[in-house]
Amino acid sequence: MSDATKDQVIPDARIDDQEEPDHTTPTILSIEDMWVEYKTPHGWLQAVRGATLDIKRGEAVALIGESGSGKSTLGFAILRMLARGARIAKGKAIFTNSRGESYDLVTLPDKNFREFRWSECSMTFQAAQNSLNPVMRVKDTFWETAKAHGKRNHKEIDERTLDLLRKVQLDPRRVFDAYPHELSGGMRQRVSIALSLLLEPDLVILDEPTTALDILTQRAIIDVVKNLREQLDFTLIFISHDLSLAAELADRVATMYGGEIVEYAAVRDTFYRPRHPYTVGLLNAVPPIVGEEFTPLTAIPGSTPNLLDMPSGCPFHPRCPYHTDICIREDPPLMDVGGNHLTACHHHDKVTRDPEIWERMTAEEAVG
Amino acid sequence: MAEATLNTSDPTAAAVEVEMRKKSFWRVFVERNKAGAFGIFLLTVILLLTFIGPFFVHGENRTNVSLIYGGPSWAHPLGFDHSGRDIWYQIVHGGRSVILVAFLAALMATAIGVILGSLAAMIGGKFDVAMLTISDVVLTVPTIILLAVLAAFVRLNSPVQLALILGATGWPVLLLAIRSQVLSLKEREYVEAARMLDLGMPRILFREVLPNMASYILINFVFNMRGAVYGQVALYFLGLVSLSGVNWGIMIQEAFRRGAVFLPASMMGLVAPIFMIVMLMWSLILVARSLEDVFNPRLREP
Amino acid sequence: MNEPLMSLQNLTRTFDTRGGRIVAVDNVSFDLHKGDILCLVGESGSGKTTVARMAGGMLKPSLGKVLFEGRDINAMGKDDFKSYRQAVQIIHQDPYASLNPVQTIGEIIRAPLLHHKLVKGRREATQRVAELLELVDLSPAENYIGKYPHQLSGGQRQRVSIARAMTLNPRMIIADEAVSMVDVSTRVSLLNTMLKLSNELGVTFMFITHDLSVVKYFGWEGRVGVMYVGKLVERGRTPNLIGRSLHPYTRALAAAIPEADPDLTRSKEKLQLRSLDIPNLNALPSGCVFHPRCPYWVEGLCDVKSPPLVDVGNGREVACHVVVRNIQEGGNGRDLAPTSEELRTSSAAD
Repeated sequence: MSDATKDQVIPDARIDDQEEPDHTTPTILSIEDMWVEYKTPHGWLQAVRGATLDIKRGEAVALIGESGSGKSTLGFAILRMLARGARIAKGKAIFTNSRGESYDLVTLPDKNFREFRWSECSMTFQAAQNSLNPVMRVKDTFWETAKAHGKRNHKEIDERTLDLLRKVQLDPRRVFDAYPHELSGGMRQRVSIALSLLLEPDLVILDEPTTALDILTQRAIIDVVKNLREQLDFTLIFISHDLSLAAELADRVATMYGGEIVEYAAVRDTFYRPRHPYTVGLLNAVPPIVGEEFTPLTAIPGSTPNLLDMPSGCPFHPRCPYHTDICIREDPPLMDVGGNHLTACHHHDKVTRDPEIWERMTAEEAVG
Repeated sequence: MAEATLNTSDPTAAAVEVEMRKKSFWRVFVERNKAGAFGIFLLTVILLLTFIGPFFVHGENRTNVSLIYGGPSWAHPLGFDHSGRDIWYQIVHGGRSVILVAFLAALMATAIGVILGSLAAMIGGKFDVAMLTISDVVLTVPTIILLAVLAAFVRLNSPVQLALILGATGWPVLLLAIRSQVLSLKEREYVEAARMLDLGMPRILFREVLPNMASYILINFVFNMRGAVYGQVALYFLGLVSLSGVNWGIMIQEAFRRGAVFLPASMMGLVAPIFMIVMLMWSLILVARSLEDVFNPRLREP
Repeated sequence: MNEPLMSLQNLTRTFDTRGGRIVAVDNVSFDLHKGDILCLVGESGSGKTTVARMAGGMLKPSLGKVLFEGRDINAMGKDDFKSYRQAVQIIHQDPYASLNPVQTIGEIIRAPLLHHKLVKGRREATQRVAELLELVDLSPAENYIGKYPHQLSGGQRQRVSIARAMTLNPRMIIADEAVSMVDVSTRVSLLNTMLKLSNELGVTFMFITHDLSVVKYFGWEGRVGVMYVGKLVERGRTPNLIGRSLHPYTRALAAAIPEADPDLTRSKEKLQLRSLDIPNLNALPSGCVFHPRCPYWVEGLCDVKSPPLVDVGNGREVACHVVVRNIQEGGNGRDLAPTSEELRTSSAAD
């Protein structure tokens, strides 16, 4: 853990103030106009509405949103792990592997997809600490996973397992032969993360990796993921409702709202120069903890939209202090507003972090 | 503070709401739950046949040697049985007591099970232990053997008596089920909130706990009815109750005794009542399954 | 000072489990005066919810007393207990479990009003229900009265819970993780609603949470108690405690929390613990319960003697031998020397 501290500042160096459009790093995953639907008693519900996202090889991308924003659905859709009754209605997810071969994950035949899963891309689920098979020892879980993907060299697998356990800051001697119930929640979560790296995937997806864990355990997971990113070469997508996790881990942040990606920008742009009112609203609602000054907070008025009954135009307009007529009529596309900063807002040039405009709106609502 | 208004002040949302209200409950129910609707339809047909039918299907249930195993005709669509009696007449007239007895027995067992089971869970302590012990004892006595013994002492010829006996043996399973259900509901936060608000035990039980078990209780009621129908048929079949009158159970018993299984000509006398009982069971199960929809407001209101 | 509204005196609660007897809450005391906001912070297993349930009268303490207006609630007569019961309300964490799914919002709020005869007749009841809904910023009320809980969002349900708690005009509300399941964007307005009840109606709040950021916003004017495996380890006024916490556990918490600010969070000073594991309640460490994780522990002291909560001046109390000694020697309680040989990598200690 002390190693993690020393390296604490290193990721910072990677973040440039103004990111130039990057044409040299190859794209690993390109999601194009993805629509995902759930069947409900009230009809088809569009959980993801035309998400478009380019992820460069080696980046850490945060998918941030509140409940019902579609962030997890999008993650599941990429890995074709949608629940029964859900379908990808439209869209592509073009994955390019390290050999430069591209294929669409949506239409990839099942047989090839199984190969893709784990060996090219793996996912660790929310509450992964409870997803390990309780009757299998940790080493057997690793062994079975490797075997299922055609790796049968016992010694090699064991060595890789031990190495990964060390990399996630676990004591391999203690964990290797243990059953999941003998480990704490945080330890199981780290075992899951290690397992997801077993077949050296190029792309790792973490779904809510710290949710429901205690603060000190969360910190351990964060530090582990940071370390892994420095030691191993993989692209990371993590899905979270927690903005601070994005601030801590991400290179780029995709903010989702009502099934759409409303802003996609480098992490410092997202936090210091947000160009979408929803991102601003979220930032104004999460206070910094350090410091001895009181930080006033501003709430976003209204509540998250009902996916069965989406507002017209921009999904955020009923809660947005900047909204005008055009916002009610037209859903703004995700557009580059300079410096590879993408936002879906008609009024992106007016958006500031000034809380006053929000307070005025809240006051007006109260009067009306 | 506008979290409140925005969702609902939306004109489209309001419109959708109004539109949904226009549809009647039944229409929504039928659209959502085709199996349940079919179950209700089937049950209605059976009830009409057995309760209203007797007013239209006249005749006598008298032995007629000339008509033994007589074939079907327009007037007698199911033909005649081993004594030359009209099977259709017996089907129409022989269901009422079976259903009534089952209903009464299930009502009684459910009432005992719900009242004692929920009290055991709410009061706890010695009362709970006593209830558990009693139901364990009743559970361990095999019903049919108990009924056989009872039949030796009591002349079981009135439907009410039969219902009482079936009801008196049918409640322990329900008591245990209700008790465990109440125990789990009791720990729910909204029940705790009611305790915080000092709403009193009766209200907590009848307004907070039991309504959330309504579908569960009704499903158990229906399953109890099913048990009571089978119980009756078994009693008739074993000849433990007097075989007077017209009754599906008696029909099965007699047809079987006369070797209907081996005699193709007499099959109808066995198949017809069995078919009716199977249909009755099927409709009850379909209805029971669909009751969840009726009681769960989440499903009730779109 | 006048008599506190509620006084928790040496509360201890044990539970018998299969693994033996565990002490969920160990000798916790504090006072709440009218209008106070007290935040109780801790992670899972800290005992904070157990304290809340004892204060709310839902659980009897094994040792110690809960005094309400100077009288022990567990020794009260029936009528006194009734009035206490109505004066102290709990708001639960889960907005999906705390409202009866088969009752409408109107029915839910009307029930206590009618049961306790606080209103005359249905019309007045409906009138009062509407007032209560407006009080918790669910307006216009008629949009909510006929709805079922599942038709509302998490934040709206939590408002209904608050409105229901307010039916009996309580003097005190115990909010047990009341905002932790509510979306970030609506959380602040929910906190504002509760602050309004505190400011305008003088409702006393005991606010249980694991989230220091919520404490900082909601409890800024009040006090914080930090709990760790059943013990109160630090207590003080919120600005003091948040900004310059003393107990190594509190400091570790504050240091560990990621901030929604990339530069800040990536350069934040970290406090390395010796172990990541929260001790097993079945086998608590000897001495100070935090010593196996504490970077500053002193052998022969911390692993032997359990530290009492000591007033270190400026309204701050801390239960730590090392911090107290440092302050007594003229230090600020924060510049402590780590027990160096113990700062090995956590992998071995984990």
